[in-house]
Amino acid sequence: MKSLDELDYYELLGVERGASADRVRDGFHRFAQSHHPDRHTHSALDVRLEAQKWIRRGTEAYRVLMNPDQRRAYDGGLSAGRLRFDPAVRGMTSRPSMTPDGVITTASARARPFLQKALDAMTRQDWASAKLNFQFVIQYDPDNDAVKLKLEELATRGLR
Amino acid sequence: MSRILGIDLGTTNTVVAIADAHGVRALPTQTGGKLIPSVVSFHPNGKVLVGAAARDRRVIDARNTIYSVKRLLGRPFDSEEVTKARQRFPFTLLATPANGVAVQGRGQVFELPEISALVLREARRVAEAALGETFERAVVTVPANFNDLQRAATLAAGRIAGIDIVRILNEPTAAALAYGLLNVGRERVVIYDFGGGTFDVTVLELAGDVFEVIATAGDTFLGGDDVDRVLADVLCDHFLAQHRYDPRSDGQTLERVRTAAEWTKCELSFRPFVDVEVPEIAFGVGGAPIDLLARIDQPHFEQLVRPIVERTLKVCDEAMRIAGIAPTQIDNVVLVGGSTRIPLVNRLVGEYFGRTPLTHVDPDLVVALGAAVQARALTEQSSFHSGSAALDELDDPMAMPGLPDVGAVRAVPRPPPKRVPTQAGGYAIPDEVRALNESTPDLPNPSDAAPLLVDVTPLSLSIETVGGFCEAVIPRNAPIPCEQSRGFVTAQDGQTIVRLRICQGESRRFADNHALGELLLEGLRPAPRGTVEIQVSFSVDADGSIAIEAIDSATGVAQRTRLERVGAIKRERLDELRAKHEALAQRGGNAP
Repeated sequence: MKSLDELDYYELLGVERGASADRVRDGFHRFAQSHHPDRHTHSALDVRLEAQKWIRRGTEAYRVLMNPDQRRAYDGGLSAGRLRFDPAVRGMTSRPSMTPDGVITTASARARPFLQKALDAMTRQDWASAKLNFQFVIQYDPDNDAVKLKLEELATRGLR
Repeated sequence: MSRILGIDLGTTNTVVAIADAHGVRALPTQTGGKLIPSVVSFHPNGKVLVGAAARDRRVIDARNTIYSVKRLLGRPFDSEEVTKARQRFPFTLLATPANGVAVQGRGQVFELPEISALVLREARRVAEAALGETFERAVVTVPANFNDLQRAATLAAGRIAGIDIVRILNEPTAAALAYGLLNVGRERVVIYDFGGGTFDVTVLELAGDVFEVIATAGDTFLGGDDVDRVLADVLCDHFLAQHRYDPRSDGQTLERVRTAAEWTKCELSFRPFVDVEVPEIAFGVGGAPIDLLARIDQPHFEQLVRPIVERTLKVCDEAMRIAGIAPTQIDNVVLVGGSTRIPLVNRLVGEYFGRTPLTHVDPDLVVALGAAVQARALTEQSSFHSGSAALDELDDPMAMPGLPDVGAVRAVPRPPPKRVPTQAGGYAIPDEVRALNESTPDLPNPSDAAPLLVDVTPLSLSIETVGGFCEAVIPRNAPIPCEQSRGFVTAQDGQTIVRLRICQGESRRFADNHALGELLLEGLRPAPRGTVEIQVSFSVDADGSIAIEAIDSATGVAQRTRLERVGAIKRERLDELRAKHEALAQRGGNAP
């Protein structure tokens, strides 16, 4: 018997890989009957905690398999041996750099002067210059989510 | 262990119900009614009145009579909703230190969960008086789109009342359970829940004994109260035009007009016109009293109500879009909430979905009945797998009037079959069972097997990113319980603390969503920036409540996390409040 982390979503819900949405739903309902917390209100604590892990993974599997785009991406990853859908594959935004006060920083020494200029421009409300300098920052520090979001914000603000 | 009650803690009325082998019943108050007004009044003699006695004081002591607080429960004091309500309510709203909301009742300050606690306590008292046993546990319903703060405030109310809320259940889902539309194959059902203060629409898919919520949408500030308000405005304008005095300039007078408006609304549900009369609104020359007299007819009323109903249909559009189906693909529409008694609501909803809505379970009771069904499912859950213990206790199989075999026909709840003592066993009905049977159940037993409910989270859970934006971690309408992890890296050398603001809502801008509070990750391992990665796991449990855990990815060490909810009452304080309320109960209110 495989452990939770050895099962792919199809195995977890007990459906074949090409299963239709209806079959996936039926599979999830069967799965939920045994793992949903409402079926464990009188179970021992360790059983409840184990069931919690399973139902959480089950809802994850269900959510991904019921979404055609995510299911396609998952199937791609699955053939490469990835058993769980990793939303981080979508983009880099799942690893935001966080400071206690939300200040934007960069680890790239070459990007730093541009970042400073961009932030100064923001203070002056010189959006065009801010945008330009943030774009330079991104060239040297392409994974900086904080800066990407800043650029997005500037794009929505429009250049005035 | 005591049995579990089902409580519909409503904006306007509260209903308490029980489900057992004899069916599902809403429990009557001493006066025989089943609606307990969700109103608390602080009497000059120091007593606290709850329910009908309190509601009667609205027109004579508006400043100390608290109603409709559910609209504000779990909302920050500086939110738009509270600001609006401060102008509207005749009683005083105050800010708590944590930016929550409190009310003033006869000079004393009560946090909003305390008011809900008083109502919950009254519901329990009604149940205990009706059934002659004590209760400590309940399933309590909330609007589907209640956010985490509102759910937390409801749980807090339970704690203060000394009632263990074993499950927070979404109102529309409860209604579906009550309708017991089970074992009818695959079916899509819409629950249109238009109550006193909130509107919810929920799309469910029923398959076998699993209820699955596909989509839910709603407006927590749209309800029958709005109808009362527009109608009261019309009456006030009418008086102003005739007598050049605006009844809105005095809170107490406005309250009387509003009560008249509410009555008018109810009467117009089954009459073509109503003559409204509110005596002594103002005093004319020589102190002669001037009464408010007006006639409201059905077309005029419908003209006033139509924009409000249309707002509900916009929300229906949204739910249909989320579910990815057309209104005509719905197999059944269930109407819930007192406001669905308005004929125009029934008509427009019928037109929208292209079918006649179901209304055969009392729309005022249906949610509480569903809560009771779920309460019983949780009580008997252990016996679910191993055959029914409840069945075993009753020798007579006829004592368990399950649903008739419906086959392909829709499971329309009907009265349970008459209990006839079997001749063979000479089985005699115990006295207490007979007594119970005398009060006719509002629903027969929906099913022998406990239904399983798979609900969804109604709002996206997001974290704040830079620039005032936020990013969804768990999308709305994700089936629950669920969990999602996110990695965070430090951005400064030696950084030992990370502060994340979290919110619920659908906007990309943080400020446009409901800010839940701040999540603190403390005691991080000091290291160069970017080298410490923390995996934060956000989870939503079956109640729709949020929990957060975090671990250091490199060391696997659990990090201290603290979620400071806006407006939340601290745990120790809850226990203090509970003691205070025990004392209040000792002093007595409307308990004789």
